[in-house]
Amino acid sequence: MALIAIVALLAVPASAQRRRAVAPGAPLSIEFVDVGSDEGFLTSTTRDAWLNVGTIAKRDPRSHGARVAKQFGVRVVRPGSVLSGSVRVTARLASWDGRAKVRLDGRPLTITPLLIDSHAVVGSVVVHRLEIEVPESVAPGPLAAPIVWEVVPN
Amino acid sequence: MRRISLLTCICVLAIAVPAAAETATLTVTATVDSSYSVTLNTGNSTLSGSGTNAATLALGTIQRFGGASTTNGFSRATGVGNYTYSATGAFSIQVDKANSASPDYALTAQLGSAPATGTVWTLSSNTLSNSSAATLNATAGYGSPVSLDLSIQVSNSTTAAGAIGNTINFTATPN
Repeated sequence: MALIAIVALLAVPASAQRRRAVAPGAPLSIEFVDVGSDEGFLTSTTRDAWLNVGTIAKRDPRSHGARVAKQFGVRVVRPGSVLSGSVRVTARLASWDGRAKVRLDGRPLTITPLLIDSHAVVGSVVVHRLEIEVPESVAPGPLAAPIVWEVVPN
Repeated sequence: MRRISLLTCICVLAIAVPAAAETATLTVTATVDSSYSVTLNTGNSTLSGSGTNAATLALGTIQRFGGASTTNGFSRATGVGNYTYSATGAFSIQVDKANSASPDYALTAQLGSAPATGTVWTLSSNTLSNSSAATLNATAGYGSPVSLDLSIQVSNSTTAAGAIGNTINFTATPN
């Protein structure tokens, strides 16, 4: 029985072997990492994290709202494995109260999953730019935008 | 025959396994803060730096006799023992708000230094000093220019010839 199974695997085409580098069902995890001058804003760097962008206030009288932008890194890893491969990465807002516009790499985030990277390399840090824009009419106070990231092996 | 059946079974299982999706949540937190801007704008007098919060209004040379009776929107009027250069709507000030629930604001003005001897600075009927702020409007509305009249009275006898310029500091306090 074992011999038959091995033969079957060897017969798989090379292209399929590359996809298998991140095999379906293999455990993956997502890490969030500080990058560059924006270090220190992440309070956790594994799985669930919090990115504090600080105070948002209108600085430019010519603008129509308050804006802030931060960079952070995302890394997909498979603990205990050195295998590489690629994954499909999407992101979406878990909820949205309409008070702020959230953009990731220049594209608006909504509760609908947004394709961030169709072939993200496992193990590599990919830097993303997050922008938050708050209209002038929004009342002052705390703001929270939970972003759900999902990775699926290719 | 039994071997073929087993291989088929393994392949089917491999195809049937769904891709292992993994999720993580990055919660972005921030605090929205109120902000305000103050802008000085040219009126009947031309301001250098109009549209900003630091402008200059230059009158040039003023004098009781001779010279220019009008300068940069100001007109000269002579009185007993003094003369005054004044301009209606010399300039305006506008305060804008963002992310604020404040309905209006109080606008005050104060000279940056003591006025030259014998001179009296009046801004929209409020005599200015460097010791206390004069309230120009206790409930001014955001987003609308507040037009201001400025006059400078000069004593014929006690004011020495020379520069009499000063700075008017405006403060807008949200109500």
